[in-house]
Amino acid sequence: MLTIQAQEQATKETVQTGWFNGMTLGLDVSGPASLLINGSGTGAVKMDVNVRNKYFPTIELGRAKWDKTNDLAHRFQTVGNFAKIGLNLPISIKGDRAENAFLAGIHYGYSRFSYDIDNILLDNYWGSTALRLQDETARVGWLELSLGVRVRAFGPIGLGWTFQYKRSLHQKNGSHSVPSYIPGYGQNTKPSAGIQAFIYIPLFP
Amino acid sequence: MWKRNYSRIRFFVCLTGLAGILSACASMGCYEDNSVRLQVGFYQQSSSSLVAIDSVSIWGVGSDSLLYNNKSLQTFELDLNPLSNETRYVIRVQDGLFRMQDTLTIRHQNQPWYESSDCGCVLHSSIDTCFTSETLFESVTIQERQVQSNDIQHILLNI
Repeated sequence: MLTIQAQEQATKETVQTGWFNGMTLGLDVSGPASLLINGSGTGAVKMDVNVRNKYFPTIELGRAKWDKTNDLAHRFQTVGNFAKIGLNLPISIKGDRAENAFLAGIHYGYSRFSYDIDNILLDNYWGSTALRLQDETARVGWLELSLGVRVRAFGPIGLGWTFQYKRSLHQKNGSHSVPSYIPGYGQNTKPSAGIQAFIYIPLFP
Repeated sequence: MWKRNYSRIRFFVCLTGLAGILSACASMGCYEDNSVRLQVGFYQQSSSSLVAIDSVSIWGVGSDSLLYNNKSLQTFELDLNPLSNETRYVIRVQDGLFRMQDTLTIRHQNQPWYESSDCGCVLHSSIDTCFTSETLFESVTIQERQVQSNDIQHILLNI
């Protein structure tokens, strides 16, 4: 015979997880922090749908700004949008609607952007020549593997972070250059890695 | 075991800062030769081979500095002018009291190529035409019009 406590627990455990088990909005906070620290950063918003606490399809839209001068005094500037789409799978969850979760994901990211490179000095027999490349256009698609955690912190509001491992799949460079930075991807290295921190807000129900 | 809110917030703030710092990735360095020059050779048509010429001096028209000063050369490298579509070099051969010189003119289209923030910019070019004043060399052969690599001979000066 079950005690009252056990009965309540059993009731909780039998709460049905339907096909649609909630939607969560994530607001990137590490990108704006990077903007304050480095003068370059990303702002992003993502949405994921909880499907039976088993699948979390996700979409992320963002905008990035990069303004960096390297050791050779070359100044690279870009402002561009990016989008990512993918699927997260739970490694571990707690809560009826996976309010606390450890997730692994795979995403496809894409960005089409323009950029300027300034203060390029070309030295040869004929002297030192200053060059400027303006309105170069590039587009890049990449694969992203992620590991992330989100936990409920203040009432329904959650906090979390995501570690991302990225590798570009296809890249069309500018007509006179290879872009040094790709919005949403980061510095143009193969591979690239990064961490994002988010505030999570459950939307439905 | 989930921690209390205060520990979670502290952990989250640390990660946010780490994320901001990590976003500035370390430089990868440049491992490529980022200078591309026009590769030129002296070619003897009778023997169908490259030939070395002694006591060669080369300088750019409009420049005071010697690129090569009294050297024995078979092949050599020339920089194309990044600010012009025409580059001219004087090639002089001194044999005792005997001196002859010729002027090599290269008409080209410049295509700067920015490889990366570590490697910087290289000047790629496309050769349109190439000729000499024919006082020392019979003719010029363009073997490769695209000046994008130092591994191939772009032009041959035929003697």
